[in-house]
Amino acid sequence: MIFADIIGGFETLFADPYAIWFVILAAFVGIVFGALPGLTAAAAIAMMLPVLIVYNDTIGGLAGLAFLYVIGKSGRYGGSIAAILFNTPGTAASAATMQDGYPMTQSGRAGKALKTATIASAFGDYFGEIILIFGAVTIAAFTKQFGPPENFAIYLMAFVVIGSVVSDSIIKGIISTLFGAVIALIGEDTITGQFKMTMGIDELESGMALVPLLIGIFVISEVIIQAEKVVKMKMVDLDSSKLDDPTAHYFTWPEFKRCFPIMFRSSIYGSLIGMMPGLGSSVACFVAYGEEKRKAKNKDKWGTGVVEGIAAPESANNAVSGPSMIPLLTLGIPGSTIAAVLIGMFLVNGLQVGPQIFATEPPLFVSGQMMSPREFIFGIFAAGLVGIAAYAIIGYFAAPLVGRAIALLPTQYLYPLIFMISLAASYSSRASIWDVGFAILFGVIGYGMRRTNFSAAAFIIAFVLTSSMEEAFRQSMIISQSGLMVFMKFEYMGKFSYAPIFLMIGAAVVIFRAISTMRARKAKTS
Amino acid sequence: MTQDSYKVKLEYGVSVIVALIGLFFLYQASTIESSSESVGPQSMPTGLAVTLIIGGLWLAFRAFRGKVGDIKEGYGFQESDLVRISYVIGCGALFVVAFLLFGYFVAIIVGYIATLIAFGVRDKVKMIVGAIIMAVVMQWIFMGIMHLNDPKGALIDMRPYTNLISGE
Repeated sequence: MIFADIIGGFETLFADPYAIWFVILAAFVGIVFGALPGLTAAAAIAMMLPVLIVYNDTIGGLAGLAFLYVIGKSGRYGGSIAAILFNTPGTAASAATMQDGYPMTQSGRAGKALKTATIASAFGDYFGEIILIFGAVTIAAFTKQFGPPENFAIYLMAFVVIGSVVSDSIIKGIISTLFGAVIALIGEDTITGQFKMTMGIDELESGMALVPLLIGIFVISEVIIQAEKVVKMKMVDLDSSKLDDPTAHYFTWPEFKRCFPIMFRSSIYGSLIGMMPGLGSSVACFVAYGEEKRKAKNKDKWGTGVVEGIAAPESANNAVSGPSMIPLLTLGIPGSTIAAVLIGMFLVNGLQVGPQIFATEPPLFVSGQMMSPREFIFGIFAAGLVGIAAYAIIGYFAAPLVGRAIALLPTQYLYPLIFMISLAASYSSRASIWDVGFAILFGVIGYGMRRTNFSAAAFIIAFVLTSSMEEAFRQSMIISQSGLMVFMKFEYMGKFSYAPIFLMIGAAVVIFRAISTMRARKAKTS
Repeated sequence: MTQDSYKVKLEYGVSVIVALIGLFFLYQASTIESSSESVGPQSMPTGLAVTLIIGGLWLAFRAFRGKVGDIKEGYGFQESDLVRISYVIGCGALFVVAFLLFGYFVAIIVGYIATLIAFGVRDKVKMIVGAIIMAVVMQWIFMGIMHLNDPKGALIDMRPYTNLISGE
């Protein structure tokens, strides 16, 4: 059944010429944004989301969603280019890659390092995508029976888990989610239609828009940071002699055979971490690097420029990509910022994320075709599989070129350009100048959050989830005959409830995190 | 001031801001009309605001005990260049003001030139030519292709000219 669905997904994708072009475009855009130090795939998505929403009907829903989905993948890979060539992680996910990537560049093996990163990233991404396809369908069959109490318990568990794992400080992570949640409640009440906390501003009656929030938190805060340190004319200093002949440094077959078990194990770490909401590529890359270094026979050479030191973190951080969609597609919980943004694009196309997305009825009219939600989602999966191949091919042949181009970029012109595009994109989300003001405001807030260790990811995920969470909470209260106890009982309306189990998992994660933090602190003190 | 005492002081400041945000939203939640439901539109905002206040107090308690952890790279505002930060925010504000007074096209030109100055660019020709090219491209993309609302400025209506670019 699933294999037939996968083939059907490719048919859906290839029947839509826009979608194919957007997949290839996303592969390229993601690599460039990922490779730009400080800018991430989330920043690229924030700036392009309004355009995709406006053009959704023209280009078709599949093209827009495929674009966002593939950008997340290629952006993760793009970060490795900056890590290897400039000793600066393009994204947090590539931080571990620097440890062996940059020493390889210094020793004149930049080409080999880049090719290793490309192959490892594609390997990890394909591994994660397979886990996503088979895992999501299986889990969704189980989670589609959940009612409002379970849904609320899942949301609450996600809040607590994400809040407690995304930041160094549990309390700051949880405060970040609370802040995102309270901002999300501004606007019209979904049940009574009353306006809440609009502060007398008419534009807030429809709530705070996601685009200005994303732009403020991810793009404008980064522009502010770059403004502080802009003293150089160039983005980075790159010694071109290190890239003299990158094609002469292939990732050889014996090296591939040596790295294969490492990439395989690292992809497992990455996939497992990706399935847990809040834990992202930045955690996966260090876990894989640490574990593989510990197991390695030549562990003393790690950090001096060995291909294994690139293969492990790169396959792990890209293996996160697919499985991070599992909580989204089976429970409606975004495991990452990019997944949170995808919810908005699914809604634009009339699809509610959650287990019902694998339903075969009712048919939708998307991208000029009548298809079931299941066919549509398998079209997205197919786009992911094609997107991986696209970024791998572009990266394999053009990564040194992208690196060279970025090294030549004058930051003094680039960041003002990005700033203006951000303001224009904020305006275009609802054609409201208020949204530009909100983007600037959240840029300052985002800057403050970054400087004081609050989590932007937790903030955005909570913002996206809260209205559904509130709805589930109030629906639960309506059907409950025992008030809040409906979340603690294993039965409601004559059927078994999983709500207490989810709440217990959330509590267990927080307790485990708190204990491990205290132990680490004690060990440090002693 | 030692790094530890700096972090403690900053954490006190952060805790006050968090608690104030909580108080602000608690006040906002109190302005929501109550409903006949046992759990109405007021419930969740109130609950979240109260939890934010508690979070702020918790941070203050942590700072009071001095358990704020080590200072990691990028933490705090000691190396922040407040002048440059205010330049960037000022450029954003200038964009908004120019938009209201002169419309979208001029706002892009003024905003971009101001941001270039904030980033240390001093080459006038590059600034002006770059800003005009950018404004033309943005006008064409956002107003011409995406058909966004292009309101007239309060002081000058540039639309008769900018419509030549956007083709409206």
